[in-house]
Amino acid sequence: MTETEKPLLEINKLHTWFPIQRGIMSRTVGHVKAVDDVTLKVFHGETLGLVGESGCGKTTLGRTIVGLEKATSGSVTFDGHDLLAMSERDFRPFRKRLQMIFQDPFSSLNPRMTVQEIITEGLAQFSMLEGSPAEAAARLLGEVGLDDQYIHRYPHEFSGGQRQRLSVARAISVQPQFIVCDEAVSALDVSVQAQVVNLLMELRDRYELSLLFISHDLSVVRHISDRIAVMYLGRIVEYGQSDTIIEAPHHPYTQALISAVPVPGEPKKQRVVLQGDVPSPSAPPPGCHFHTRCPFARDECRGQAPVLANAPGTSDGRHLVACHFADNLHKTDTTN
Amino acid sequence: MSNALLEIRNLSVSFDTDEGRIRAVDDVSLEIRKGEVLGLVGESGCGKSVTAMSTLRLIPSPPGIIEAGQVLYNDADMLQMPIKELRQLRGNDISMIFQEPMTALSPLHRVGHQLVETLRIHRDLDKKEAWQIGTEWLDKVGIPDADERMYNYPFQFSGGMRQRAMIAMALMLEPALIIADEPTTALDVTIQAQIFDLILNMKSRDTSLLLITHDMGVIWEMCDRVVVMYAAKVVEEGPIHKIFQAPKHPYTGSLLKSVPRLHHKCDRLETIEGQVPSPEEYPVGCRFRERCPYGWDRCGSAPPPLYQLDADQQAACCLYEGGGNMPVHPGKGPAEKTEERGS
Repeated sequence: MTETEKPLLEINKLHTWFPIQRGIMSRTVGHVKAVDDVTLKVFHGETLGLVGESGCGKTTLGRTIVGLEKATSGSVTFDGHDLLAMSERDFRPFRKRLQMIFQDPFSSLNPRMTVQEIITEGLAQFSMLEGSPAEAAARLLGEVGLDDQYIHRYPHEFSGGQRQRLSVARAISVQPQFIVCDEAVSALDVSVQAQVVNLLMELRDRYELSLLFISHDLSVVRHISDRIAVMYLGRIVEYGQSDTIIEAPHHPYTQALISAVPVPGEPKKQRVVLQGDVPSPSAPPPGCHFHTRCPFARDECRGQAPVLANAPGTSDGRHLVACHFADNLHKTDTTN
Repeated sequence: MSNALLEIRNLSVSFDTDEGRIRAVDDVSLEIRKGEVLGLVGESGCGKSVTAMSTLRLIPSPPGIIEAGQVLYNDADMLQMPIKELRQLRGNDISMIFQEPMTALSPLHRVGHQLVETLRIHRDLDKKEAWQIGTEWLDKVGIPDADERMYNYPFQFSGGMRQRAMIAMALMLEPALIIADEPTTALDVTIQAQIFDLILNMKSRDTSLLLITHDMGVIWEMCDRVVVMYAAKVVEEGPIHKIFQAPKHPYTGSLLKSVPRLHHKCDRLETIEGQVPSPEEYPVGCRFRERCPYGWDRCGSAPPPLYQLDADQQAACCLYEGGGNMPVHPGKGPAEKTEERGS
């Protein structure tokens, strides 16, 4: 995972905007800038955590990467191929290399298909089936820690955690290189969540998978990720090694986000409580998107958007932060 | 123990389903003391919400049936009293904050009217006075432009603002007890932090809070005491520091270890093997036995009662039969586990 290595996935200046249409002529009156100028890299075998609050665009970013949303501009390069410039036909082989696991284990599995049909559908599509579907299904169930006698059951016969294991089995069935996990464990109880997180980490290590792990839960993201990107209103505000982001964040939003997480068993801390709500992504505030809630906002923040640049004291692109005053803030505000 | 504000005694609640009668709450007893924040924690389906809803008789019946037990408030049994009397208590003495404020607030009525309605049911106020008080409370809970916001419908509020409006509604009659059922589960962490600060700042010192959640972090930050539920039963109860530093029930210990900690990176999360048994399949003995790192033979014969371990901590586990103490701290490796089972 050195910087000289070629990344598996490279996102460059990606924009995914949704038009807001009004009136009988469906005139476009504005855009929801769900993903607004995002640049990221994911290396082979690496897990990149993507955190942010609801509506920050993290799900849209994940969906754009796997081709479920159409990008407005920018590029997504996977293993040297520009996915966005491709025709639907050329994109097909990439669908198996890029897989996705969704949040809701209840709506993401077809209730009318049996387990065997669900987890071998991809194999059949890509003519990857070796042996009978039943054998393949049993093998996959074994991989995700489910009993192989379940192949003829339907999704409703499983608990939430088991269903999420089925989603994992379906995702790994076509031997992908990259999996987008969109809040994949958020709907699960903690004891079950821990099982699924462990499973994902085991599979990742066994098959050298790269993961984009999208979640609002910083503790889980920290646990599973090598690097973390923090997103706010469509933009990446901070990016770096997990330990750096959690223990020495530079952006005031990251600091507030971390301080807001209740950590069991640790001395109760003085929280940085942000005022107000996240502004609407259809009308983000000018300048730095975060200035309306930032405890340190100054005039400059209202006028000019900060660029994502090396954090103070670094120069190698390993820790990036988008704040005009990252240097000053870090000295005053990471201890609490 | 005389300072109990509300006491739940041997509460059992069942639901009639197609598969037969299912017991959601089984012989649960707990007390909420004056001025304390009591946490009720457990995983989905453990009966924590049903316990709370039953105290105010908010369980829809049918299919719900309160089969046994008492809920004592000021020596009166809320489960037996006439519904008219109970309505006097609801909102006025005991109020509730629900998880999803969008469904708890009426979508068809302005927020202001909903506040006014609640006020006028319990207080002798005319419309104008009630509107005035409602506006003050919206302002107190931090909703900007409260004057205008009173005329809004709930859909015009953000999730955090709706929860603030719910809190205003719950607090404005200055109840003695607030029951909050997963009040921040649907909200982002930065909004969650705002809401908890608000609840703690707004509640007076004598107000008690029953906080229901599945989030151990929230329990730690908010509560004085904790009751842990598993599979419809109380498995452990004690003050917050004891529960987190020296949990006595193996379930509590395992649960705490399976939570990823923000500032401690480990290679592998501790898990609890298997899954919660479904209500139709509750075993005769301890319901945690199958997943328990100890799981001895004697756990299978009868459900363990809550053993009083010291002045303020109780646990329902066979390890404490005859006053014994837990031999080893839970969370050992699988090798030791099989040894233990064999012995």
